[in-house]
Amino acid sequence: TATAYSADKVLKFHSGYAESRPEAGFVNEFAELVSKMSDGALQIDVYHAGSLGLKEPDMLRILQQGAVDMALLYGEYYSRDAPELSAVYAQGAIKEAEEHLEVLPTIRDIYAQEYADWGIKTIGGVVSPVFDVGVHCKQPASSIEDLKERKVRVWSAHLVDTFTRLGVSAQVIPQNDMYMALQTGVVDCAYYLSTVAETVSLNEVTDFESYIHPWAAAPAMFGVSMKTWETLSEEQQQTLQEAGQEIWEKTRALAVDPQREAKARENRESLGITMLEPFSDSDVEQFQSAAFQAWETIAKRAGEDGLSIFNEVTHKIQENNQ
Amino acid sequence: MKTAYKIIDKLVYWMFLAGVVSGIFMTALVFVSTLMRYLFNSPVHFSNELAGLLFLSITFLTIPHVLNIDRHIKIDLVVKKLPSRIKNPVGVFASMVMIIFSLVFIYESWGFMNFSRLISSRSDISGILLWPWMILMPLSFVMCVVVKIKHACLFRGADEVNRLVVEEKS
Amino acid sequence: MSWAILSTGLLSLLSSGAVLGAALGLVGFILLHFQGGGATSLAINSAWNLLTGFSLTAVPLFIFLGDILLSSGVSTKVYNGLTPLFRRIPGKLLHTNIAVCTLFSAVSGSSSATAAAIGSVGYPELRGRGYSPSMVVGTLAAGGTLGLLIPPSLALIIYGATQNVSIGKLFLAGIIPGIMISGAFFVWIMVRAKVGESVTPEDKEDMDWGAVFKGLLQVWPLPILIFFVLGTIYMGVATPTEAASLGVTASIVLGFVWGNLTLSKLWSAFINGTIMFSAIAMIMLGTAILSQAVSLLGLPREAVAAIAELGFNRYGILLMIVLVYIVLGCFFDGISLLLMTLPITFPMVTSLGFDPIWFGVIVTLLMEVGMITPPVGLNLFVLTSITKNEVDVTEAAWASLPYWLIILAAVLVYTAFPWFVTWLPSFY
Ligand code: NA
Ligand code: NA
Repeated sequence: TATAYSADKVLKFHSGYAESRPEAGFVNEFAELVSKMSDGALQIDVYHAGSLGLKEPDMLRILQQGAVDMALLYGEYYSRDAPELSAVYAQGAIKEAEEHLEVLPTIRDIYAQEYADWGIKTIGGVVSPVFDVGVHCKQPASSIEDLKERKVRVWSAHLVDTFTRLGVSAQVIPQNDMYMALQTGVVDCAYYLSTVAETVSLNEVTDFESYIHPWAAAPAMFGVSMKTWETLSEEQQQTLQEAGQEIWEKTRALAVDPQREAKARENRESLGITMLEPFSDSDVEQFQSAAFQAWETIAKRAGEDGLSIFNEVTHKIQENNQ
Repeated sequence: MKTAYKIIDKLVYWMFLAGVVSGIFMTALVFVSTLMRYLFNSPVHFSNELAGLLFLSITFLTIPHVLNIDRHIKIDLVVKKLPSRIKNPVGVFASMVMIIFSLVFIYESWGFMNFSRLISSRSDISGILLWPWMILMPLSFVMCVVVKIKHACLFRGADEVNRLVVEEKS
Repeated sequence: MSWAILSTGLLSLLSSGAVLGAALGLVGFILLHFQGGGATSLAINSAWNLLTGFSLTAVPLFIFLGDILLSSGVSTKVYNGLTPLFRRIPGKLLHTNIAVCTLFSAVSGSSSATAAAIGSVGYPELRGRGYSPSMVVGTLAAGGTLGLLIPPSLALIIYGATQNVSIGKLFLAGIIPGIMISGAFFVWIMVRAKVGESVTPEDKEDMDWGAVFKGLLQVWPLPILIFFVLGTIYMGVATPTEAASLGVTASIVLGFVWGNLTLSKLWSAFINGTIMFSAIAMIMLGTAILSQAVSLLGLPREAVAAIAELGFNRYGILLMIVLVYIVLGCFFDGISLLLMTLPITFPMVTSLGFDPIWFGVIVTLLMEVGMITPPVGLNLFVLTSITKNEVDVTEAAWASLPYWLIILAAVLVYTAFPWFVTWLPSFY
């Protein structure tokens, strides 16, 4: 960051992702790319892990006011201010990782439009890797039937609803409390992104893992406050757009990678995790149908916009499946 | 004037009592939800969220009364050592700090609440409408300003009172 | 410029005798407005996030717990019971503060909650028995800092999750330093009780094993409470935050059954507790606004980044990092400081060949130092509030100085002998 002070323009970039996550690395790449493309005239100063002191649920307002120039936007965090955004995508939406790439353009368009309503310009972003999502338990569990006797930690209201429909007791527990909750047995299982479970030391408090479905990962868009955008020269705007698009294409190409997932799984096994059979096809079927019902409920709660987004995305998914 | 003071005292005290009740309710809520999860495997999904909102309520409902009875924490080490002729201006400055802080806070928190009301922001899990809770923030500091004004008026009359107290003691 | 506003603003507003929370918050507003491009609205976001967060709810709950024990007379009976045992030990009941804090740290992930919980009982009980108020406050402020070091610890969890370090190893690494520092606190209390003016009440009676035994029979509610707060966590009944509510319920039952709690006493315990908590919350509000301003301006990051350019050797850089954390500790504490600085300090320190687990413990110790470093030190504020301003912030800071030095000495010892920290996790 030392060179940042000699640049013509320095943009403050907020990211809520911990630096241990691959997404953070791509944001750094974006910053380097912008610097290179502008010969150092335009600099992106990335603040990882929320180190600007900003919290995700506030980001739409903050960008609208222009208190920070740029942010990595992850649509699922904004349900307080923009409930329709939580209708864009939901866990259980896809059963195969490739489906994600097919529905991705639709999702990107919706986000671009919705963020624009908040005075936020989107310029590409990070297509998050389609990680495995699994259930990580202290005792073996690899079916919905098994989970009915357990307490499961999940990360969203949609997932609470989905599991409740399946007769499984689920609760949202903040990520910082998850380790202790599993260690002491407040919950028995965590529904989590298996591939990155090691970064939060999940392997130390759970011994068994069973795969459910690929992560329906809302892409992490690069958002620029319109207030900042309007102060940029045309050249600078173009640089940002090109760099954003380049990272988008690069990460899109890397997103689905069975080899990466297999390697990560081997790594977890070497850490002492016992890999159980994945959830059966009929269980996944059941999970998906519950997830769609819960998804629709959330979309309805968000009003007309939410419902039309839900219809558009689910229509696209069904179209792809045929 | 005395009735006005009494009304202010009562008002902030009722707010305070509402804050105490929020605290009791929060304790009970967390307790019940913990037991429900442990004994019946059915946690109260919204308990953390609601507990958070009650926590906010305790804070903002009680700040004015605590200001009124002068129980907020200050650093008065320097002030104590000042010669008495500049004690008063410093005291006025200290009051201005509280009042200016309150005014900025009222302005910004009102904007925050009003914006949330316009887009009807709701809590994540239980969908509780948020602006009625948010309005506690400006309300609290409006009452703080009122209390500060009351203190200032009392302070002007304090010389009179001091004289009476001294007479009574002697 | 920002640094100048920060330091002169704090100096003048805090020393004016203004309400502390308002003074801190106003400095934050000024920074946000003039240096942050008019971003004062962010203050409200951060206030809202802080005060609707679940993890802080433990603070008022533990204060209620303390006040209920106090007004029911349960705590008086317990302290009376413990008195004969500590009669011949220099420092007497002061040791209970450290002992209970150490024990309590094993359930609480937060430093201020620990100080609030033990302080709300320990202060009035010891003060009433003739102990020096500032000495009591010093032991409580110091004891509270153990909350971050002895697992579970929010600081270590966040360190582990953001820097991809094993949380289990970090927890193990905290145990030996936690016990050692707690031990050093005991030793200091004994030394202090022997020299200088008296800090404990006079007591000529001899050690009487009969009285000790009789006293200990009086203490039986203590294990029950410890079970409800500690045991329920390790049995998986409750998270550390939730355990506070179990503790409150247990204290109400104990108060009615064994103490002389009545409904009206219970109600006034809630009232007293709420006043105390409100004073703390006002300060939390102010610190939230101030740290929002300082983090938005990237000040900590700037300070830490400057070190890299000094060209020192590894111990020189480490020393500078420690110094910067001490300076930053004047203005901040706890988790926000961790989040703001780790992205730079972690790669810097580990690339110099220091152990990541070891650095986690060192950084946690430095966080703890910040908790008791004035002018902005949450443990000091919490205790000032508990003493109803009988011991003011400045006195509390002076009283904490010896413990502050002990913790820094510990940083030195663990730098010279890192195996104190890394030995236990090596078995994991
Ligand atoms: Na702890
Ligand atoms: Na501090």
